[in-house]
Amino acid sequence: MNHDVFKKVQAIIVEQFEKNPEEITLEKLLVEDLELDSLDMFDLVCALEKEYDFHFQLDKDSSIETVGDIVGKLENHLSK
Amino acid sequence: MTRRVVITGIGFYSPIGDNLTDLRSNFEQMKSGVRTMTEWDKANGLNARIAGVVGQDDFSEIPRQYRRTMDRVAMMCALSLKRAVAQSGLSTSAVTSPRTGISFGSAMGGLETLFDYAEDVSHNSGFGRQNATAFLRFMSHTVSANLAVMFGIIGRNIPTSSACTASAQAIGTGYESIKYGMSDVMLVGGGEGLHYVEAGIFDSMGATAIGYNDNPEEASRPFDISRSGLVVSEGSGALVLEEYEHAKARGAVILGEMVGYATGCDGSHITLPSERGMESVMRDALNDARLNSSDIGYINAHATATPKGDIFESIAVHRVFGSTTPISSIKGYTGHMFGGGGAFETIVSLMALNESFLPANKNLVEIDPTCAPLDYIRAHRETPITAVMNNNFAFGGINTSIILKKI
Repeated sequence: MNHDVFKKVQAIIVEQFEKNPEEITLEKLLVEDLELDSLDMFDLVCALEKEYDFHFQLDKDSSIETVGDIVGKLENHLSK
Repeated sequence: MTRRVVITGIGFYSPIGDNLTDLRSNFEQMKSGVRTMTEWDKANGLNARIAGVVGQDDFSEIPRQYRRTMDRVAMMCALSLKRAVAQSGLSTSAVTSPRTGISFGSAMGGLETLFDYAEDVSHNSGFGRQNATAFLRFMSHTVSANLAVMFGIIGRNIPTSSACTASAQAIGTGYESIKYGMSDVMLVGGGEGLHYVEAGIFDSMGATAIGYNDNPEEASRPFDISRSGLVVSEGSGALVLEEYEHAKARGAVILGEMVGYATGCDGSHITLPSERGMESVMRDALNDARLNSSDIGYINAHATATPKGDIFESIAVHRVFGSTTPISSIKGYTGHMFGGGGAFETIVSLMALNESFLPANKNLVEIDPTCAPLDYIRAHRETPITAVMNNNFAFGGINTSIILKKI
């Protein structure tokens, strides 16, 4: 795992959704654990897209369930 | 058969305080909430760099799930309503009853969010990377929509958006909803959040007070001969309106009775007010209240300190009341709260009723002889009164008049 990417994703979630940094781990489920709803998920994607100049297709990618899934997706993007 | 409507809770934010003690103190000391806006230095071509500002920037009391879709205007209204509901003592089940509704309004919706959104779309991100909550923060009915979600309202929700009469119409809508049996409780009010675009809009129309950037407290001068325009400001007001028997049955403290309301339209000019329309709405409100003009002990005027508006209003008041009913506009202290003015000024009218305290016109040094001869309050008075009238008027020739009475 790219630690810098995780730290950035963690920071965005903390700032955007007023969470404690300790809450944000790779295993955490975005909806069930972090209680993000559809509006939150959309805003999270917007923030990540602005940060990484990357297009997430959240609706077409049901594999994104955890913080780790987001980090993995971004790592793939950055390695290209 | 119609039903009686009483007020059982109030809450507000204004440039001169968020509680009745501070309000009264500032009225007594004739202290203004208008200040110089150094924050607006970046606004090119803006003449009037003054505004009435609410000293409240921490809204973390509102849970994030609600706050995320609220602009400043909705947040001020949300906390105002929270206080009003707490004062009313209404239970959660009463608030979330289908017989409880809501009506809130503002002139501009979430202007700060809209401005930032437009700027970002135009200069940075386009539409591809805009978040989902922006529209929910700036849409015209953002206040009523967000408050309904936060308070769990399942009854009627009637947002109002009529500029300077937005919250007055919200109060009127709530009053009529209860009076004619559609609801037992209505949560009503409105607000406005400050943004320099609003100042710029009125500045370029020649409607703002120019020349007071260094002495902002003297800028807003209703009925004064040297008045030159309005001062933009922000604020909010919320009231709990309740059917009289409903309030009595639960042992609520009743703050006053709303006995009359009317709204009407000039139908003549989009900005120029008509004394005929104003006169008509005051007479209609008196008829609704089944009161004579002599029953009204105090008139809270709309008077924004624009050259023509104050004259027309004074003429209309004179036609209905003659020269002996005490009248003041509190915009000398607060500036013009636009969508929040109607609700806040209704709360001030309620204070006048309950505390037998009539605030003076601030900055009224020499009455404009073109204004009709009225009993303009020059220094605050402590006078028992039994009924008050609050008037508000808006672009589009929309007029409102609200009458409150001691119970």
